[in-house]
Amino acid sequence: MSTEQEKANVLLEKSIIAAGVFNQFNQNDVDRIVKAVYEAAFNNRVSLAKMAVEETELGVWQHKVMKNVLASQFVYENIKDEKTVGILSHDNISGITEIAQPLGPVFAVIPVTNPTSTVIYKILLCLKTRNPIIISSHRRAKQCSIKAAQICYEAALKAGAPEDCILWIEESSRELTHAFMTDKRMALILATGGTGLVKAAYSSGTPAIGVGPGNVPVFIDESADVPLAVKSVISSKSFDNGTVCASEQSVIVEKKIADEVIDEFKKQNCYFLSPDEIKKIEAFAINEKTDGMSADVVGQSAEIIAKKAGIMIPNNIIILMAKLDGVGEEYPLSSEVLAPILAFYVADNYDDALKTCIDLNYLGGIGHTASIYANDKERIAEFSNLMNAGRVVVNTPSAQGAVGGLFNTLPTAFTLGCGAGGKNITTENITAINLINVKRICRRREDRRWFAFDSEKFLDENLKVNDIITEYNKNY
Amino acid sequence: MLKFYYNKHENRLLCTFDERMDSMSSPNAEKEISKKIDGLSIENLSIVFDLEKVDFVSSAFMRICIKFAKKLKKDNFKIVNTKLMIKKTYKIAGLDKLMNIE
Repeated sequence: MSTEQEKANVLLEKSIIAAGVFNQFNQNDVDRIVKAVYEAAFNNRVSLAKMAVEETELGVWQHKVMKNVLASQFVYENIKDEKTVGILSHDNISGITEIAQPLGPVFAVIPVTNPTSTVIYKILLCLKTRNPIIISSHRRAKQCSIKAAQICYEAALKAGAPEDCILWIEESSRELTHAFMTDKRMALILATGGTGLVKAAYSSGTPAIGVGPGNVPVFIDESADVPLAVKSVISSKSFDNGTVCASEQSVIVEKKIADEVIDEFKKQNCYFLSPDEIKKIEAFAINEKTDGMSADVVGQSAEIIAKKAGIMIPNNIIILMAKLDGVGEEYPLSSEVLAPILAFYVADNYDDALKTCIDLNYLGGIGHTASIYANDKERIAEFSNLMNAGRVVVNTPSAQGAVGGLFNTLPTAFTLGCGAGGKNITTENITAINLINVKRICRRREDRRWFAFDSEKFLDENLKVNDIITEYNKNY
Repeated sequence: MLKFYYNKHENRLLCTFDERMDSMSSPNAEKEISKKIDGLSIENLSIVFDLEKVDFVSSAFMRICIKFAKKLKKDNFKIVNTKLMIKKTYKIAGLDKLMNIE
């Protein structure tokens, strides 16, 4: 057994015992623990946010406080009344009773972009469903992630939770992650991270709930309230310096309202880059080897990005706007960049605008999120129908809208399913119900057609579908 | 309350426990058992935990089970009379591979 496997073994042995102990807990026990953990996390929301920004050197601490609030208060409000232990439902007519079963140890991968909030969120979901959790933090967010886990664990223990129900990896490595992911005692991987990591989770043989990359197009329709739309896009794209994967990546408008939209962006402290400046930003923001965003640009402010790219911008600029003529490899800023840089497209007409939205949606962001500002219901319906997305947010800041809770009634989540397009199993905002197995007691409720019908007739090749179905349904 | 019944002839220690073996009661139980087997020959000693009255086991109690299962020869540590939920708890924790659970 390698050293890394031994390390994994130590934690897994503890975690699997915690799973056994947790199985004895009832709904009241669980709800008491979840409440205590939510309160502890909420009370530490500011210190954890500051710690995260200090350690990762990305994002905005005030916004990370809001993320911690979402992960604690909003997630708690979502799940607190949910039944997750014992009988979930019973229907005497169908004869079906649904019973919740915990999964077992959950391996929780934590991203550098939302470290403490994702830790809090995943811990609350796991405790609510009686699943022990092992936290695997990003190497650049280790201290703050572990601190968040420790705070939650202390509160959980005080409320009577099983020992070792929350564990964390002190020093992570690729080999250790592999050892955890492939261990047959691991019940589920909650993989929130980059594409490579999510793929590793799905390839491990352990069930996994992952996320997909985003590339969120925002269509501002002529029927939209333009000042509101622009304000909303800015508040979302600048939130925590663009680190939310559901934040806007490109704005698309028709020519007829382009000037109005551009003026509004300028009025609200956004800077339109010249073609030369776009080249400089691309050189800094895009990793030449991978053609994806550079780690150096993620979560940085517009001011810092401009400075590092070697361009001068006016003071108080919130977002850098790059007017592009096309979508794809030749236009690197048309793909996902988790920073306050927005691509901007002017289309000749409505159809061309939607075609650009489709191109952007399919440029690495299928299954994630799309956004529209409009007051024309038919256009909202058409846009929604065309986008391949788990969420289409309407007249809403995309980052906060997709995460749920603030602007709509989606469950608040820091793991956003992206469906088959994003190589995920679901398009849902992952919540407690996704972390239980539902067992169904199926009582005998006969289909009387089956017993009234002469089943020998199924064996007669000469009888066709209508011959059989008509008789099968006779007097039914 | 923890009770012991030692069969000298078979070098077999039977331990019966109370309803809840939680993180408060388990460390005391461990101390008492250790004291009881102190001086006994480990070589052929067998220990049986009778859980007839036990309706909750904590991680601490499971660790005690693991400790004695590893200390004794294979098959010389046994858990008997488990309630159904307790048996399932041991199964989920994977301890059935380490000890006999009846």
